Amino acid sequence: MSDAQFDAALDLLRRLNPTKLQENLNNLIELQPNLAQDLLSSVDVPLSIRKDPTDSNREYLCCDYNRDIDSFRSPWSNTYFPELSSEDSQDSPFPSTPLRQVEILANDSFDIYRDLYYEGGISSVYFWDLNEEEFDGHDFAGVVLFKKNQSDHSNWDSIHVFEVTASPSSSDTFNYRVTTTIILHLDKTNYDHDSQMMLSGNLTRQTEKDIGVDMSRPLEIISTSHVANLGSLIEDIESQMRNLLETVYFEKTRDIFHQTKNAAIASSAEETNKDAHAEVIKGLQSL
Amino acid sequence: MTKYERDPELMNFLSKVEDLDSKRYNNASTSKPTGQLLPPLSNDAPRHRNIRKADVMADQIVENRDNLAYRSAYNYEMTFSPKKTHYSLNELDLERTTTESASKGSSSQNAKKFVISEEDYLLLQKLKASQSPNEVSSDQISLSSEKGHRMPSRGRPREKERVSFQYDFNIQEKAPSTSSPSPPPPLPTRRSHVRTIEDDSEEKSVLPRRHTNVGVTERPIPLPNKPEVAVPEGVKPSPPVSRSMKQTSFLSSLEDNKLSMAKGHNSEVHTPKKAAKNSRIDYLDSIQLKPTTLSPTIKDKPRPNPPSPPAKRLPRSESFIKSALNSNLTTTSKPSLPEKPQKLRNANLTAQKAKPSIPPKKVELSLVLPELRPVETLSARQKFEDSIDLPKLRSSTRSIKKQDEHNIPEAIQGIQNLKKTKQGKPLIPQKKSFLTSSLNPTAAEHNGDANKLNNELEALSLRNSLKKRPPKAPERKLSMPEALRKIELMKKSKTEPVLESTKELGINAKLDAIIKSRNLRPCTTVSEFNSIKTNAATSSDSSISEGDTAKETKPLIHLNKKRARGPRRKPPTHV
Repeated sequence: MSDAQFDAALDLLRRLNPTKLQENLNNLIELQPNLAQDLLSSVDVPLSIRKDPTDSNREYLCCDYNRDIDSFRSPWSNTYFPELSSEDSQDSPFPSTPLRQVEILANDSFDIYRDLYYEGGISSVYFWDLNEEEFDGHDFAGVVLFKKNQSDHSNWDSIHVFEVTASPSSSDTFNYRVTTTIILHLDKTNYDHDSQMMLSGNLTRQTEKDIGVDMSRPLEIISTSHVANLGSLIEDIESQMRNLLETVYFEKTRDIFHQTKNAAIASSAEETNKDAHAEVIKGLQSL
Repeated sequence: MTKYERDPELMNFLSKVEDLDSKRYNNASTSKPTGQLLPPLSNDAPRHRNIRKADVMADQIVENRDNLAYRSAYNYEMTFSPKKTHYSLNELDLERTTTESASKGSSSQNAKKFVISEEDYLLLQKLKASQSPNEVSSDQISLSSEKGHRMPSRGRPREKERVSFQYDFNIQEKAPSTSSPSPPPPLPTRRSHVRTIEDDSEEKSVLPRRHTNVGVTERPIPLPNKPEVAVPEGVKPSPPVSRSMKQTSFLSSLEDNKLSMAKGHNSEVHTPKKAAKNSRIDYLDSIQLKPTTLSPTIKDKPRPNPPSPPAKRLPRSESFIKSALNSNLTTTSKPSLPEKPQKLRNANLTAQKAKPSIPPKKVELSLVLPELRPVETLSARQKFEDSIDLPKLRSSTRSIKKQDEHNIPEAIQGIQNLKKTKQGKPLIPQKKSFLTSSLNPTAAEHNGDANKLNNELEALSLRNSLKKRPPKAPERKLSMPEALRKIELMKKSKTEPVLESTKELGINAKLDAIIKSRNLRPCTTVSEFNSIKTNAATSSDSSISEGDTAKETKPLIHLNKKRARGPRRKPPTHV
């Protein structure tokens, strides 16, 4: 029953207005509180930005994966802001130390990537362990976040949730599964509300890839190779999804726009032609 | 003039003659005021003196180059004088001197010339009797123009000249007395004699008339010429116009010269005109100060000569006019020449055209030869190769040829096949037309009854075919699970019909089966559209699955549902 509710909630959220996704999600959680955790972790909402006061107010991106209660962990200082109580902080999730090193490396790497591809924006990477054991080079998960605000109302949010698990076939091969969601929101706000135009939506794709990693090497190199593999994979996925958006969705939207416009024009022309024909026929009959 | 000056003998001769002249004039001088330039010419002797003085004065005036007014006045006096029985060539000399502005010939030189001319005249008169005219002419040349440097025979006249000088001295005193009664030497004779002179100068037909004029003008011996130059009394000459006042073109002046020359020969015409014409004659005289050769064609066709600046180019004009006259001679003597040169030009052009065509041939030949050599070598090589590897080469060439031979008929066959297909195709549009006509009731009404029947039959057949088509299309779109289901159904149906056939089921069972099959079709189609997965596998190991796809039973596949949920964390406070 919970699965059906969960699926129904997801279906409902997919068909609702994407601009009010956060509001609808809260409503659904209120409606079905037992689905709160699943919905919060499964539904991607536009990323929020916070500042790390300990790291010279450096901005970082916030999602449900770095949240604990109402605080969000900063990848720069590995602390939750606003700061949690001591009790809550003890229970709050943190990556293991070796994984934290990999997280730092990934943050630095994707920050470069963000600078190259986005020429601005914010990037944040959060890792967590899939196993309760300490990170030994495999079985870890994470999220790579990119956000760029061209204006206050136009946003590009990229959420890449990945899982790196050792493939059962060979120990040196790892399965990289990346679930990518791009939330695009274009809003042309004008004071004249009649001419307001808004385009919003999200696109989700999941990619899996098995890549071999030499596990005989030290952990640092293994972690570096993981970051490199993730980087190349995310790079390919983002480019593919961007092309999809441009060639499929925007073009389709454009076709619809032109069809509606031309259809209106054609219908008006047909009406005028019919009237003219009718007048001509009447004139001929009168003769 | 330069030649006269250069010749010391001539200078001595001239100086002696001048002395004699001066003595003669001083002895028989009847001094008259200079203001009276031209008294009425009653007697020959005073007239001659007056003319002489006037000539000298005119020369002096000309030397001044500015007293044109005096010259014009003198000419006016000469022309409008009451009666002028004699036409003095001294007047011409006046004009000549005007034109000879560049040459600074003095009156003494004119006097010298006069003496020389008279001497020549006397010599000629004597020589005419004894010698042939040609020899005289040669002698004259030696005296006047050429000083015997070229021809050895020119030395003789000099000797004779010296002798004649001695004679001249004696005769010259007698000359005024003897010249008047004696018949004056006719101008034609002088001209002819000058012509003979010019015959030796290798330009026979050019000089004579020029030289007559020159000689007449330069030599103020009017007395023997006076009776010839008689002018009709009733005719009053028109006032002469100075050259400076009268603006005439070069060609017109040449024409006038021609006329004047002609008139001078035949009948002595009005003096003023002559004066004016002489002024134009002086143009050529000035051009040919030296006794150069002038062609008689100048009279005929002086116009073709281009108007060259004559006064400025006095020393150079000689060669210019020579060249011009030579060109005229060629043109006038042979009127058909202008055509010939064109032909010649054409011939030259053709020759020039033909010439360039030759070198490329040579070049081609030179270029072709190296090209031919490799061909020969290739053929030789091929021969060698054929001799060495005959079977290989033959097989290759024959195979290619055979292929080519086979390709052509194949193409032809293909064309024939295409034609067949084209012939077969038109049947379909006809059917279509029938279809349209049958489908359209209005069109069917217009057609005849027979056509109606035919069309209806064809339309029914086609409708049946159309009915058959639609079920085929969805069958192709069946997915694998649907196909499996169908296979199972078919198996069941096969088994059932067998059973039915055996059991002979009723019509209701068949209808149920048909209904079931129809009901299955939409299910399959819907499931097809829902089961379309746009999984884009980037590689063999990677795959992209779209989250929008979902089956009818599971309309949406939520990829986020399968992803990592993240670390364990506490829910937010607002939840």
